[in-house]
Amino acid sequence: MIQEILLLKELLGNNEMIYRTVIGLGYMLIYPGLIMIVIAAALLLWAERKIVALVQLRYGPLWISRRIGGALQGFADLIRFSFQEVIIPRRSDVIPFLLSPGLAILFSVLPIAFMPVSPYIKPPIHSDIGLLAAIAVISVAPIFIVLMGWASDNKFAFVGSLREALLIVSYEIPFIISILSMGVMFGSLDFYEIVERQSLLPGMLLNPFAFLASFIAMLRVTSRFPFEISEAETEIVAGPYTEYSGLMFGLSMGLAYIKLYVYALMVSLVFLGGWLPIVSGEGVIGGFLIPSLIVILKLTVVSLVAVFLRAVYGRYRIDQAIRIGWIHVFALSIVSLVWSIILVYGGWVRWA
Amino acid sequence: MGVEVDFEKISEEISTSIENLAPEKKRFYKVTTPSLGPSVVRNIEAITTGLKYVIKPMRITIDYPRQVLEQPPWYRGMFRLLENVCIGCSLCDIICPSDAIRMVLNPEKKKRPVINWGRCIFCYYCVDICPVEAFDTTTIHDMAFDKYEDMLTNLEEFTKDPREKDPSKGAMRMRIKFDEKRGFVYEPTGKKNGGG
Ligand code: SF4
Ligand code: SF4
Repeated sequence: MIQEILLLKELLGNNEMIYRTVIGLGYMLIYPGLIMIVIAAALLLWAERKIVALVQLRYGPLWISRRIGGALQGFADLIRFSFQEVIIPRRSDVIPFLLSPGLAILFSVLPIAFMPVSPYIKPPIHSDIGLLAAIAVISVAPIFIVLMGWASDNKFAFVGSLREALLIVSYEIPFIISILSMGVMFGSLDFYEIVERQSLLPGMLLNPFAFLASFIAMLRVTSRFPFEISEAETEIVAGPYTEYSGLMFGLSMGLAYIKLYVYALMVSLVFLGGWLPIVSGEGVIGGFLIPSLIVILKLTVVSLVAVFLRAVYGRYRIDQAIRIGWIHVFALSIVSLVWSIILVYGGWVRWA
Repeated sequence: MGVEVDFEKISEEISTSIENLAPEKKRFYKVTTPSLGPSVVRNIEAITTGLKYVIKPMRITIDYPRQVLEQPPWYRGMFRLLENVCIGCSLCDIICPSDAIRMVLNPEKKKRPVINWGRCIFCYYCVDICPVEAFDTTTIHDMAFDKYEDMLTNLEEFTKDPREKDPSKGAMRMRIKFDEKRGFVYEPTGKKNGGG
């Protein structure tokens, strides 16, 4: 594989355009894009079920691939979903009903185009406002979740999508404020500069308020406990996804995990120092594979903590969640912004 | 016509009656969130408790299709008819509280019972009342059927041994034991399930 990439570069060396297209497609579709995301989502699904089972003193998934603790359960589910019948309710609005899960996934995967995982191979769109662009793209995805509920014409789906809309507004604003306060502190919205400037201290320690606020907001935005209110199984079946079946249900259920992957990638780049301690490297292995594996490792830790919380917390009532969002998390994000401004104007952080 | 309801007055009355309650009862009506310090401590406690179980698993369930609980011999599971023993007295049909047993004629024009597993509640009245002990009982209770109709047996099926179709055949039988530290635990008996 690596040999072929190198060969490809030699062959197309003088045609920058084709070379960048090929690399960009590989980046978006294979690694760290779509295929890697599907693998990560399936493994995360298994990890969540296993961790929750351990805390609840059970065994968890074990039937498929018993030797490795049932780790292939997520893939088995995926295969099962893709062979099941897709039922379209007669009263649904068919085109939005069918399109919205795919579009929601598209807009959740798209921010990968702005996010680097290594110093050597750059993301397809290397922009100096990459952080802002990634946030802007991923915040489109919830609109399609609302659309799912609206198009299903089912009261549970509708209630679920309204809850999603209400809570997304209350938590995405603190997330954006707290993650942009890191931009204020680093004096840059370029992921490369942000990662570079964490070489002494990770962003998590430079601005702990921002880390806390954005982690809590991330839990809500990716529908994790204790904020899994829009899908609350015990109250409204599956929320916006109630009417979906077969592959469509697989897509909409995987959506939360795909979002978790992307948000955790963003958090590990901005707060955990990305591919540091490796500063720069040469070649595909040293410059791309090893740094990106470090990023994936940090991302895995963040998302494992996020899924672990399902075992510990109950589900908040909707009014409690909104109160926490607007009073505590929002206040925390404002504090983080003020902290960044103090650090910058007090002269405690200074970038060359 | 119609009844006028003064909602404001009612809600005022409710809130004054809550105000007049004893403080320990008031707690149920007015849920207050703990202040920052205690709530942080509680959250950390909850997370460490969860982590403890992740690191050191303490399972209280068994690995079902590979391990099964050992049932006592008097456990009321599925049973079969010993056709040659039965004398066709119909007592089992009469006693059955859920109407699960029906009498049919066998090729020799003798009355014999058949069962509908979908209706049977495993009360064993039929087994108890049978004057000639024509039912062969087992401790199997976890049979699965593909179709609803499969639960309606005919004479041929009802005389077949349910042990042949036991879903947890070959599973390790587990016994419940009391452990000082962990409460109830399961230990293998060393015997395999099935085969008679
Ligand atoms: S066990 Fe009870 S319910 Fe079942 S067939 Fe016998 S009498 Fe009827
Ligand atoms: S009670 Fe016993 S002997 Fe009488 S019909 Fe039923 S199975 Fe046969």
